[in-house]
Amino acid sequence: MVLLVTSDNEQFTTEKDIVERSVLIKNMLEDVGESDQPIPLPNVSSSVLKKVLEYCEHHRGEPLPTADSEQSQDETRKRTTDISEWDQKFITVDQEMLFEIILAANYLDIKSLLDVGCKTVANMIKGKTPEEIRKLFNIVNDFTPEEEAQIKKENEWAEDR
Amino acid sequence: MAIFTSLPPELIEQILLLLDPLQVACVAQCCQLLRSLVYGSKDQALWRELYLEQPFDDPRECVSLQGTPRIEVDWRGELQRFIRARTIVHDVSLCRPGERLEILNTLLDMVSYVPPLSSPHDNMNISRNLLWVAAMLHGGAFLDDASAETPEEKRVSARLHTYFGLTHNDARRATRVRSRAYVYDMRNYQPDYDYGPFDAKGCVDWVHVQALHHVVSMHIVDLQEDQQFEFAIFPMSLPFTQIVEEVVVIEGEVVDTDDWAGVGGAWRVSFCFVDHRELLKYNESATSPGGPLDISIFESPDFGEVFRSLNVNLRVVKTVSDPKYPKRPVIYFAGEMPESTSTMTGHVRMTPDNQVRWHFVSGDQGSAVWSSQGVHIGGLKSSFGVLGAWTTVFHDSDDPVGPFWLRRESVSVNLPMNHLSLNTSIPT
Repeated sequence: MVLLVTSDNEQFTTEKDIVERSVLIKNMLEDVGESDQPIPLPNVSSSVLKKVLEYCEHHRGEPLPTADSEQSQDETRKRTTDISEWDQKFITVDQEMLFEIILAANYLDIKSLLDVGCKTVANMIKGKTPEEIRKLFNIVNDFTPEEEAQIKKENEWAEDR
Repeated sequence: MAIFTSLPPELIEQILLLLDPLQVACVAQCCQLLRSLVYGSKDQALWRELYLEQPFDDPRECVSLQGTPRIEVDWRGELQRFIRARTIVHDVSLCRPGERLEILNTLLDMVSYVPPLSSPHDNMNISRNLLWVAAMLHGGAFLDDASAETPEEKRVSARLHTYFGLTHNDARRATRVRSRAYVYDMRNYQPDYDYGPFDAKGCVDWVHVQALHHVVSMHIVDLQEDQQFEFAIFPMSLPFTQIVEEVVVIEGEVVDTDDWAGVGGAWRVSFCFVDHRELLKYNESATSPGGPLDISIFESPDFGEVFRSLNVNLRVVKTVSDPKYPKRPVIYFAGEMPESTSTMTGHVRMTPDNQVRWHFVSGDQGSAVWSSQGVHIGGLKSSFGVLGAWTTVFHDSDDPVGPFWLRRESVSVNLPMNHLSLNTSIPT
């Protein structure tokens, strides 16, 4: 069993083979060796860790990506933003949680979860105009009128309507 | 609070790499931060990654038609040009005034810089650029749209058309009549042009070559009037323009050979010709000197054009240095036709516009009667072969003329067809 402590000081007890999907934690456990010491995760809140552990538990037992398979995965990564049904349901959360999961997956080094998060964001952006993307992500248009002119020129190659 | 723009730059980049380049441009137009992420960086890492995500060849593995490696890649500029070409080919109405030439040149660049095959039978290194452009242009509507073409546009378009193969328009009887009317018009064969598809400077006349290509191709591919097809794949189409860089190994040793054009070996030459009386009648049909000829003979149901193929084994006789092209000496060759007593002699050299030009004479038992001038199409040693025109060595005013096609024998033609289903659609 492994004990994890979140940024808001909540404790989670979980099994080694679940939590080892995180390369960060896996390496920590290997460095520390057999120990009852809790592992602090100062960058992850309890609500996010709960989701992350849910993901790890579902994908428990699946082979972890190795340095070798990363290469071939890169090959097949091209253009595919498909997400499996379970993952899709899992990642149907509000935007804040989505970005928190992405940040946590990045910090904890869980490649497959990071991929699911990034693909989800990419799918949200697809087919949208700049204005629609701003609205989607609450982005403030901070360009000056002079910059607007430059931007138009800069993106002439991409005009498609 | 975690929001999109608060993600670390490397994560935003990771997301951008999952998007189509057009969509990346949309993201860049949202705010200062995203703009500088996409366009601000001095190094081209993001653009390189984005480029390599596309179904194109890796430009670092590409060589020119003459086999010269590329020196430096402007990842951002090149990807933007390719995507622009994709947009315009997909919807020609978006083409800005004067932009068509730029798009044609972009497509020509794409098919002119591809990775080399290691042999004509190499199925492992088929160029993604060639398949992509073939799939993009599929019916060739972009090439067929010749409204208000400048001479330069016409030239580049004809060249790309020749590389590409047959378009929907080529399947129409009227188009075939037009191409025949061009290649059988003796006025297109002048001493200034060496009686071949060249201009007075010795550069390739691509409009002429494309007409020759069309006339020969229609004997190889069976297309009916107005037939619709995705892409006619045959040995004179885009995938066969790919450069071949064969390493010659004799008794376990790599041999440096002077035969840079791959002349030595078994070839098959095909000639097209029409009845000589018909040909003369056609060429005498102008009502005023230099006026248009009466093309109705090509429209008649009785019109016949013969397509005849012969085998010929060629060997290099000698090479003579060409001061303009130190690495490309003139190759002199001779050959015999195994099914007859005919022989063939000729030479291969570079044109001023960097094309590979073939000239040969042939005839029975060593007496040369026929004279042929052609240009090798595509990359060096590509299996597409040599396209050109034949006349007689006498070059009389009533000489017969016609197209010819010379290509290497025993070139395997098993291209994996599923490659042509490459995704070229524009995301919505």
